[in-house]
Amino acid sequence: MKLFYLMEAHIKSFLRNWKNLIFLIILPFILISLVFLSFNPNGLQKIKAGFIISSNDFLNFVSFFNYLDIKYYDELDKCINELKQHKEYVCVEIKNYGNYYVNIFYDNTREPVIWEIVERIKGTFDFIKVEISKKKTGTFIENIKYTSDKIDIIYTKIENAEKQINQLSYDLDNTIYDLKTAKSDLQNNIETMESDIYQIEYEKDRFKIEKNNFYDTTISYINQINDERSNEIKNKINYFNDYMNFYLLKLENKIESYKYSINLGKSYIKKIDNYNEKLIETKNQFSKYIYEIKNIKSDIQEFRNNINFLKKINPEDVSNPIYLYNQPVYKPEIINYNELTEKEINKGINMISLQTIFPNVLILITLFLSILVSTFISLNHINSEAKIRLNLIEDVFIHEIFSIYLSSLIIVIIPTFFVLLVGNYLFKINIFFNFNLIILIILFLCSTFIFLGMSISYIIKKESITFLLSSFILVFFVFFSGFILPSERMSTIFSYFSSNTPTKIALSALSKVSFYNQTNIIKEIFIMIEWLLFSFILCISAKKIKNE
Amino acid sequence: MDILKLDVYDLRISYKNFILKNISFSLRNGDIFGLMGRSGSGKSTLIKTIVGLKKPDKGSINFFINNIKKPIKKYLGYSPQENALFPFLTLEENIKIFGRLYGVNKKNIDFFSNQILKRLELYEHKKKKIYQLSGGMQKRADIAVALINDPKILILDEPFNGLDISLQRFIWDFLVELSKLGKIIIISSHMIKDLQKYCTQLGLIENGIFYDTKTIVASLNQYRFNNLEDFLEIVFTNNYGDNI
Repeated sequence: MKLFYLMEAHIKSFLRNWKNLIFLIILPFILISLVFLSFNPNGLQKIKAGFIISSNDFLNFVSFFNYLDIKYYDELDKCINELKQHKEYVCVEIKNYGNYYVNIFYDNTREPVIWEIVERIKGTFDFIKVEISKKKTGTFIENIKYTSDKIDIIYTKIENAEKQINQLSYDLDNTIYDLKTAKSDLQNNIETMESDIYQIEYEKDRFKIEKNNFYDTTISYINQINDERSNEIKNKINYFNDYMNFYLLKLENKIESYKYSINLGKSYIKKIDNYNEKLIETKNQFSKYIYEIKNIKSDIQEFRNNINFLKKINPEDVSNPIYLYNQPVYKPEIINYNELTEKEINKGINMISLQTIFPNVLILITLFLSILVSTFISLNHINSEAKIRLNLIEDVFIHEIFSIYLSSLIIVIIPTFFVLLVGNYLFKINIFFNFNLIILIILFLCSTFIFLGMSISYIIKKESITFLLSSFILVFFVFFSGFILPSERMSTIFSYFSSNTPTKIALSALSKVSFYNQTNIIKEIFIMIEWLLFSFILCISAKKIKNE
Repeated sequence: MDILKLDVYDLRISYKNFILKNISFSLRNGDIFGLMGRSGSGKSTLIKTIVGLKKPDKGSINFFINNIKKPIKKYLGYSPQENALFPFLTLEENIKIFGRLYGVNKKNIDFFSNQILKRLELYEHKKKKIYQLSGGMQKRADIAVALINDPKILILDEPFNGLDISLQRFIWDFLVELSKLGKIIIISSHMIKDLQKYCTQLGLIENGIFYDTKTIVASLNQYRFNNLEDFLEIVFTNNYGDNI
């Protein structure tokens, strides 16, 4: 119960002092409101930029830089001079050597906003680059389409020629076949004739021999008879023999004539063979041509396929082979992109950047209020007129600590809750979805810095020096929490320390919980408990050592 | 009425660059002990030692109720030299908060506060914040808070600083009233005449040495002084402490 009476005294003392109310409640409220009002929901203001353009062609693209307040310079040095006088943020030099060469000179002393500006200008140039490439690639692809049509016509002609050659080759095949058949028939006939002639000649020779034998025998017989009648017979036989010889001669002439015809037939067969060979040679030549035509067709087909592939290519694919989309994983639930106008989408995107800085603002406010309020209440208590009377009360050591802690916590939680409400209703972050976890994180953070503020007060006691040291501590934690210099840019040891400061840990936990509904923040809670224990032990030790 | 006894024996207190020694006295029901000494002589240091805010180098402070030793802090009402109240809280709130911190129940707080505030003529001002009260009212408010736990011993460290004579008289009358109720009262003051007039016992600190009532009276007799104030004026002016 002692705790609550001490808390009552602290809180009432705090709230009834108008200076406290003004400096530690009203001013922070005004500050918080100003901080939130200072954010431009429309994103970056118009940024002053100098352009040095050597080619008027590029002027067509200047409209893409509508977020810049552009001033044109004829010399780069003049623009750089203005930049050094903080009259320009960037100087953009554009030269046209067939291709555009762009130099962006920026004031790198103006971090971090300069990176946002440079990135945005770079993004616009990327867009322009794609537009130019698209145009050039479009013309190229049109030419390819025209060439492809021409090749199609040539291919069709080659196909027709191939058909004709194929027809000729087929006809040639028929002719060769016919010739072969004719030759075969002729050869058969000649062979039959030769066989017949041979048979006839043989029979003729036998007949001639028989006849001559008969004649000789008969004549000899007749000669032996030797009468008149025998002469007559002999004459008749001679006559018949002459007649037979005449017919045999005639037959022989005929046989010779047939032999001549056979030889003539054989010479025709040879001619047919020669013609056939020539035709076969021609046919082979045709086959070769057909094969070559087929190869040409295959090559042309491959070429056509390639060209068809090129024809199907979207100019944008060629000019922009890599589509790089920066996709923020966290998207505010309020944004339904399908129903929004472009202006509203931009506003939505800016809302994301505002939402993402909300935890930083919350942590900073919590940090400042916790240390300042706890320091103030502690000093009020330590230097209070009533302190001497309180010292007479037995067993009040721990009550004093917790009364200051809880009083500070209550006073800090009020504006912090206001900030959370702002986050929920103005920034549209779903604070109340994981409210328990968010409050737990805030509670750990507040408690750590309240005990730290109390420790400083117990150690120093003197108001001016205590507030000076508190300011140093604030600056220290602001610096080592990545608000000024990101932890990732620090050297290893400092980066490790910075990554484990209560502010940084709370920031990480808050982002996880409020943006991604990630409830597994055990690691962060564990580290925050360590810091809380450290500051609590420091506070108790300081109070004990300083006998407060 | 309980029989009270406060025994302070052979205290030696070191503070900054001086030492208080040989401090012994004994107080009983109704005693008003007046502590005298120059500014910075160590009166407040001795009082802080008695109330337990400072530890003595040696010696003892024992409090008995009906001959049973009790922790003095529990039965103590203390009004330090400067008001020890929460300035932005009302008088009523101060009484309530300190009452509860001293372990007084709500009913008794209401009862005592009404009585004390009425007696100290502060009842109408109980809703006022301390910083809104005048100097005299603040001193009375401080005494009122010191009395909220109905202490057996009331210790007041220079309660009359900056108060007019009528208010001083008012407080003395009140203290006498309390002593008649059997409370032990220890008061440090520069108002020697008043101390001589109202106190049953006196103590003087001079050059770090404590002189009790007996020694002071003996010195007054030795140097034929009737008036303690005149005697101390000569002692303090001429550094005659060793002659006491």
